[in-house]
Amino acid sequence: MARKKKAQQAPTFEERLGRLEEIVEQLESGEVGLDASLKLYAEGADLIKACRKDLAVAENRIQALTETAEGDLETQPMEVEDEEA
Amino acid sequence: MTHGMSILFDARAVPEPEEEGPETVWDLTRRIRDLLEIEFPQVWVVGQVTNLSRHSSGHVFFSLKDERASVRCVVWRSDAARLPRDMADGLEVEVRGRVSVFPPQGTYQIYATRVKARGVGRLEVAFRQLKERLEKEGLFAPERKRPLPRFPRTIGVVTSPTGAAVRDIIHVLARRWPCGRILLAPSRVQGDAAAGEIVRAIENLNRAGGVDVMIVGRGGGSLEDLWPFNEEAVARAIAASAVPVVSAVGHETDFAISDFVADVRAPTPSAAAEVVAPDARELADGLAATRARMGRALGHRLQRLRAALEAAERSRAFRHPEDLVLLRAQRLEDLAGRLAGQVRQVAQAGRLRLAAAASRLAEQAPRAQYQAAVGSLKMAAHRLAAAGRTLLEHRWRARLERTAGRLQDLNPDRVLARGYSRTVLARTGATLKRAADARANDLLRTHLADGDLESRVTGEDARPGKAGRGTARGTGGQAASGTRRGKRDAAGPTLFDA
Repeated sequence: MARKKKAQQAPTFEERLGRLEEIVEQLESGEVGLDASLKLYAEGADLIKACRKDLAVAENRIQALTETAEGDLETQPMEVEDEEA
Repeated sequence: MTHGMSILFDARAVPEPEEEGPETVWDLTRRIRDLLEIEFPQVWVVGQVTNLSRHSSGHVFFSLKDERASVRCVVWRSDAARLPRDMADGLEVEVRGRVSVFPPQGTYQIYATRVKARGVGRLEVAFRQLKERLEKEGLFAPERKRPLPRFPRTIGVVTSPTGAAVRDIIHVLARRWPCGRILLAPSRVQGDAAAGEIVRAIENLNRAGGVDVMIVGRGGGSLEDLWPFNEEAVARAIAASAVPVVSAVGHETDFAISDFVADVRAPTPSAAAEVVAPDARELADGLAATRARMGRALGHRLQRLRAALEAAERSRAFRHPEDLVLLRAQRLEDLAGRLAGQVRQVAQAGRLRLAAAASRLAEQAPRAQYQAAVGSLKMAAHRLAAAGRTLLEHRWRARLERTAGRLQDLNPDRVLARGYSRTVLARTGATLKRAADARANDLLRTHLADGDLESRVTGEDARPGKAGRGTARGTGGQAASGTRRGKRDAAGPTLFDA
């Protein structure tokens, strides 16, 4: 009856940045072996790519949260009228 | 205090308009303005506020009235901050300012620099009381305030869907954090129903799940307008929210109770959006810098390794690897030779010691010792024997001589020589020792040194004092025995059987 949990949730932006910091520190410390350094660099490059992707969204997704008569919540995309400033 | 309208100019004194024509409205207005400005540089008026409106420019307009008259008032934006909090229609105030004319509309107005409420408004009292009560409860405590998430994926907003606040928030977020999702929970933000809707909106954003932070607020307004954000229900809803709340109510200087309860207070809705979201461009720049750092770190590493590799390649060891072997072979030889030498030395020394030890040992061997002892003893015995022979001979000989001499003395013949004689009883043949043994007429034979005599016993005892028997003195002679125990060997005594 227990539903199998999906593969671990993707790391948050914050988690990625944290790991990136760690990687840079290790690479700069010079204490890591060459093989490990190359691996770390590759991991760091991937993380940077993923973070850039997250940030590259052009527009906020805007939704309205409303309550139905029964008290259920529903979200709907929302357009906000632009008034002259 | 009433001023009489002092008329500086007698209307009749005003020169007739020039023949050229009527003056412009502007000229007329200017003259009126100058008049009023000179006459009313400072006024201090009391009245009731009506038609209060806050312009988007920040300037505040209202009318000050009493039962019979009203005058328009303007408060510049710069002075608007110092307006009474509960500035609202119906509030009785004192206004200080100057009078001038607003030419476009041909109205005169008070440009108010100071507006003071007379007494405390009802709302102000309620505000202070609630603030005190909630503060005592600890709802404003700094420890309660939670930190905001650094990179919110979903930002909740509680405000009017049509007001300026929501547009400002969206604009700022679009610029700074376009990757964020905005979830608006619409609500009225003034009027009696507003408080309930705000509470519901906050609860819904909590219920929806996945909201990382929320902004609760509205644009500027009077105390009355902002009042929903001073309601106890709203304060408690904010306090109870699991999602962190940024309160942005009114203008910079307005403080609502929601501001005190929230995790963060922002002076305006735009400021709230800035607080809530990071700058994506800054982050992107940061990422570029990080990438560069990584590249440099790796580059340096590779460079150092390459340099080390080249150095190694250039080194003697690489170019003449055989040298390494030679060197070591040489060293090995040298060591082996030294080792052999050492071993020989050691062996030699060992042998010597061994021999020495063996000889010492041999000397010490019991058999050898025994032999040696035997030898010594033999020698001693020989010496002793020799010595003994000599000594013994002397002693023995002496003793022998002595004994021999004594024996000689005891030789019957010697005794005879001395005058003694032996008489034998012919009848028995035995030597006569006792006179009593001889009877009368016994034949006696007496041996003297040079011969024998025969005699007959007469029967008379010639011993003095005794009558009767013979007088021959017996020779008690004990033949000295010349024998002694012990052998006398001509070779001398031996102690040992060799």
